Amino acid sequence: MALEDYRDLLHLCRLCGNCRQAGTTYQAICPAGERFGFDAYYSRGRAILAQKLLDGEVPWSASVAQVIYRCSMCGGCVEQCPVEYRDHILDIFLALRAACIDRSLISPAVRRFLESVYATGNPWKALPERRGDWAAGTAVPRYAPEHEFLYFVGCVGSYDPRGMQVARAVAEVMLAAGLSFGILGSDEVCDGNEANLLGEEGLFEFLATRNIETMSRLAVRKVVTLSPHSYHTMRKGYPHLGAGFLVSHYTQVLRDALTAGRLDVSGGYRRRVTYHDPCLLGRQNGEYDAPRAVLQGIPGLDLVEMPRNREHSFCCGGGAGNFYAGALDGTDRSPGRIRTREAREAGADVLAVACPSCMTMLEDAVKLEGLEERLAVKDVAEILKEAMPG
Amino acid sequence: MSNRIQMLLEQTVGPDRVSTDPHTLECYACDATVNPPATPDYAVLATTVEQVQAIVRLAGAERIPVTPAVGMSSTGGLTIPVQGGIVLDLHLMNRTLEINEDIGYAIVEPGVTIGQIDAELKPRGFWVQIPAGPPGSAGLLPGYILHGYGHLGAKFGINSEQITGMEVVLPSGEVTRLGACAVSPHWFHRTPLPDLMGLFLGWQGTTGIVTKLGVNIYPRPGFKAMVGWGLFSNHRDPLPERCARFLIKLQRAEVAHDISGHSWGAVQIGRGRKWPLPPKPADEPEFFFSATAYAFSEEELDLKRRTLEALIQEARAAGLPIATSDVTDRAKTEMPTRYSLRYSDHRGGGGLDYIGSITPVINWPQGVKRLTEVFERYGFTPYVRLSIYRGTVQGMLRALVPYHRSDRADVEAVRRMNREFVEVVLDCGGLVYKAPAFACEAMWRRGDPNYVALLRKAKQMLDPNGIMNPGRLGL
Repeated sequence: MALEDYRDLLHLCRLCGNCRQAGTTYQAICPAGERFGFDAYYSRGRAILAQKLLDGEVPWSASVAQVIYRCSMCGGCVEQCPVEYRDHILDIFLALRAACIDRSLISPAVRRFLESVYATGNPWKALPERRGDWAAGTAVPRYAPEHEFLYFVGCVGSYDPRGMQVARAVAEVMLAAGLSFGILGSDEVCDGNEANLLGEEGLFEFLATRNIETMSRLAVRKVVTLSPHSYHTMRKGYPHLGAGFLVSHYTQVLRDALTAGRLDVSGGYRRRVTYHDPCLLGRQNGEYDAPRAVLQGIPGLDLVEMPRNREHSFCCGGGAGNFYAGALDGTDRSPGRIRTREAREAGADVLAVACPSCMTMLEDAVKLEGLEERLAVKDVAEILKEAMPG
Repeated sequence: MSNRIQMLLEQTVGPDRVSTDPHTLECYACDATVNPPATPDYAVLATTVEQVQAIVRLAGAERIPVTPAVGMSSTGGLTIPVQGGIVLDLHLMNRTLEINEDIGYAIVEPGVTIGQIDAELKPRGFWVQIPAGPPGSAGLLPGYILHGYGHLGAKFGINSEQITGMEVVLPSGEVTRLGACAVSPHWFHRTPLPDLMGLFLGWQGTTGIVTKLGVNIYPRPGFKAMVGWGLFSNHRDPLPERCARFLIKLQRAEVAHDISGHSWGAVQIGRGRKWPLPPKPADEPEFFFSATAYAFSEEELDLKRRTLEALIQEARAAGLPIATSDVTDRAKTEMPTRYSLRYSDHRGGGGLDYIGSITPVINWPQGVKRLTEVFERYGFTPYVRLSIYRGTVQGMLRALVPYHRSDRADVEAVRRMNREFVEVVLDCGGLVYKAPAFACEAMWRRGDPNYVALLRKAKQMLDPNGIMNPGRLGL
């Protein structure tokens, strides 16, 4: 829907400001609001802004577009909104972005991202044939119809150096659990989630359709994703384009394997760990328990919660293309840095993640905060792997 | 707007804490009320008292208006910068600086929200009076310095009576403490020194910027009881005098922490029913009342509950047309709440305005009747809210109006209604709190001219350049 179509819904925002704070602790919930501070960056301000843009009281400009794109679409405001406006918030944000694209008001970083994804199927203009390089030296096969799962790795797991390590850890643990799976390798393209959240619905459909066609050709029935971003878009977006496969996040599959006794974690993990809920796994898809169940199933692991957790979790700032565009970075009030401080204040020495984007965002933040000696960022699968003997 | 001023502001707070972008400024131009929007020239985020001082000094030197703001959830138009200038957004000053359990106070910065202070006190077994109108995300400080009402009003009185000390940045840029903390290291009370806090309470940010506030904290009782009753009066006389006398008697029993009432229409709106409402069924009350009592033991609670119930039975036996009823959803809502503004979409369009007053309870019957007549004459659902405050028997008499923000006819109607509401309140011997300028002017017209002259002198003395939130108070 176009922004104009939401004109009569914008008034549903009561301007109450609940979108600023989380649940019962009333700590900050909006990463863009925390980073920039002005009302325009909170959901409340964005409702006013959208209205004034529609009414012509605020002109469209590149700097308006900057505000519109400085949002990770984490859904924190949605979770806090007590009225029916919550059902429309993210759609209105998307419509604002689409309107920016229509007016060619996007930043150079967003433009480069979209052009690169369109041209090469990934944000870095990397060679498509290198997409499966992370699996070199492992026993991970190309997907074949006899496999139970297609392991969809996504762009960060395929090309980002740290993401590749995580992709590999997940694969090795799945292999150890005896799971039957394969990958698409060079036939995989970007899942399209970020393109969609940046307002480029056409590009999302182009990418999703390519993946769906590939998976249909290979008769894929079950997909397990590395990234919550892939998980989200394949669950919520792909079915509208004809996809019919089941989608799981890898933490769900590993939880089941651990529960079934198919993973030996007797080596244990004697560290104090806190878990950061990825927005697209937790808040937007309701999966809070699987990653925690995995961590709690590891002997010796001391799981502590940060004050902001589960539906009130504080975003790392990497969602909706900001992992690439970095629109929320730059100061000690960047969301990732705030989150790493929160993890330390919770007493953790390991910050566990279940998303390769969160991994990079938070690992970078740890370095900027100078916490390298005191806080390690590890993927849930990496922790599992360390707990496996030998 | 001036590049030089912008540069000076940026030197004070940093370049990313100042904005002159139209899209940023416009978000500070309005609230949910019918008050006309006005756009500031600069939006500035301050994080320290020193920054506030520097900004005020700059504004004074350059004759630039300064409008302080915190949570942006004001429903009184009080943070709309009617003469432009600087909106000084203080929500990042959000630390609770001290919680002193032994003496019984907390010190908060302006950006500490209602929900935040409650969440900090709860694990310690303490609480504060929660401003009961705004959502938990609103600032505590504005709800106190503007004489707002709280969820324990029958026990503790008006919010501002809970203030134990303050730090203020004066329009000159000087910073001063008021109350015991002006001399003592502790922020325990307004007395016994000459009390100057009144120069900043109810002044709507026109005499200075409060940068720290001491507030009473109390041990938090673990038990709660609510007693509800419906008033089956008639539409011509919705709140008869004998009901007001019953409420006075109830308050004088000093059992309840809160005694509140809602008109039938208010309850329907609270239940999410949309405009237009059908006529009130004959078997439903004109008003729903509730009394809420807290206690530290079951025995204490039981005694309080029985006392309240006995008073209700006694009134009923004496012929007052009341019957016990379930307490309303509003009364059951735990404070702080996130739901305080959800009923504003009753007519669609998400607007909410109100005229709130502090009025002697004995005059509520006249006020309720006339407020209802105004609502009905304009075709709006009568939404009248009552709450008793501790002290002399007075309390909040408030007319709330959900309206459609984009419907010009609605907006104009509410503006006219508000003016009539003010006259009704004043006719009943009441006074408007968080009063918009037109309501202040109406009060001054009826008031002691020497009082108004003194207000002007005080304002002139403190703010000779007229920079602080100009356009307020009808001065």
